[in-house]
Amino acid sequence: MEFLQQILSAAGADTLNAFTVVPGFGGYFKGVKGVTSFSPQKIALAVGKTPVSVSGEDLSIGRFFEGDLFISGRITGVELE
Amino acid sequence: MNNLTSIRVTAPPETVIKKLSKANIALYDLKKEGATTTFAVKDKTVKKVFAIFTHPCYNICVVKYGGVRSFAVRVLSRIGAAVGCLIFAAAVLTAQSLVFSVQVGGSGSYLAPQVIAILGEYGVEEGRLYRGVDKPVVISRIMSLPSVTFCSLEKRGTAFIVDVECSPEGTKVSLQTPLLSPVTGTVQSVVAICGTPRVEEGQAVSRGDELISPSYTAADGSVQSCLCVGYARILVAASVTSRAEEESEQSLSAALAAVNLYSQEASVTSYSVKHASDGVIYTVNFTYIYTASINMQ
Repeated sequence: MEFLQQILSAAGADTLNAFTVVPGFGGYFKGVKGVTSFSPQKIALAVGKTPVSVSGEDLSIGRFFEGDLFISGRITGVELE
Repeated sequence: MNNLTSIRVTAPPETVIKKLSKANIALYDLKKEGATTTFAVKDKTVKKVFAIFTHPCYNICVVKYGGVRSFAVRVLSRIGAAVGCLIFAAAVLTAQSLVFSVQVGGSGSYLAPQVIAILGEYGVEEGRLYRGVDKPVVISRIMSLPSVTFCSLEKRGTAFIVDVECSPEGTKVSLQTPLLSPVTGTVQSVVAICGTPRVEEGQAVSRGDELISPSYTAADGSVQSCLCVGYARILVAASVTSRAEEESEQSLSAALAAVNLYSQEASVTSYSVKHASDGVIYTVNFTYIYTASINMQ
């Protein structure tokens, strides 16, 4: 985590707005303010000022609470729009 | 058993997420199913969720309860199966408290009729409810059988298992004859470990009278034969005569001492002295306890 923190600091970001994707399992997103659109193929997240679009198959929200979001399903792409 | 309640609402996922996020309610397993959205929330927040979606345009319902309520709903929805399970459990418990068979094993298995008779006296019988047994008392009764050196009792399932071990040097007594009185007298006490006493305390008996019979009456009233084990103490009245050259203290002591030939615990009741041509004849009347026993070690 310390190495990740160093990279994020160098990029001008922090772990509060980071995300982790596990191929074939799902992804963990932090600092999510809301979901702007939802479908099993695409979920659009409101994260800070930049919307994030998660695409994949059989997507569903595994857990969402206080900005922490877990998307389960097979994630094939994450785009910053 | 989790504590999440699954809910279905006719609303887009975005709205559900927005409303629940605003209310600070944790959201789980959100999926879109056509025009409806299913999701799960913790049981304690269900009322809050329903309050959020109270507007008539939201058609909301619980799909599956979580926690204890879920269990209760499942049980109530399968009341027949639940009653069946309860009946089965009750049947198993009842069967566990019954004795379907009494098994006597070990080298002393030949004593099975006697062991079963003893167990019957303490309420352990085939087909009867088992309410426990005073093991030390029953074991001591079985241990008093001839040649028995070890005994253990165990209720295993519906079987009552008795392990009886006998001394290998001991004689395997299988005598099933009654205890007969070898003397004439008055019964002081009778103890029948196996078998049925035929006399009572204070009863006068003659030589050859049956004291203990090799049988017992079962719970169903039938008479079963068994090994005869026990003893009886009989008060016997007797007299002894002895001759002396002249009447003296020493001669009297010798006459009284002759009583001890019958029993060390004999008690003299009376004595008389009769003069004869060549001396005197002492007649000593006494009583003593004779113990008659059968199959006692």
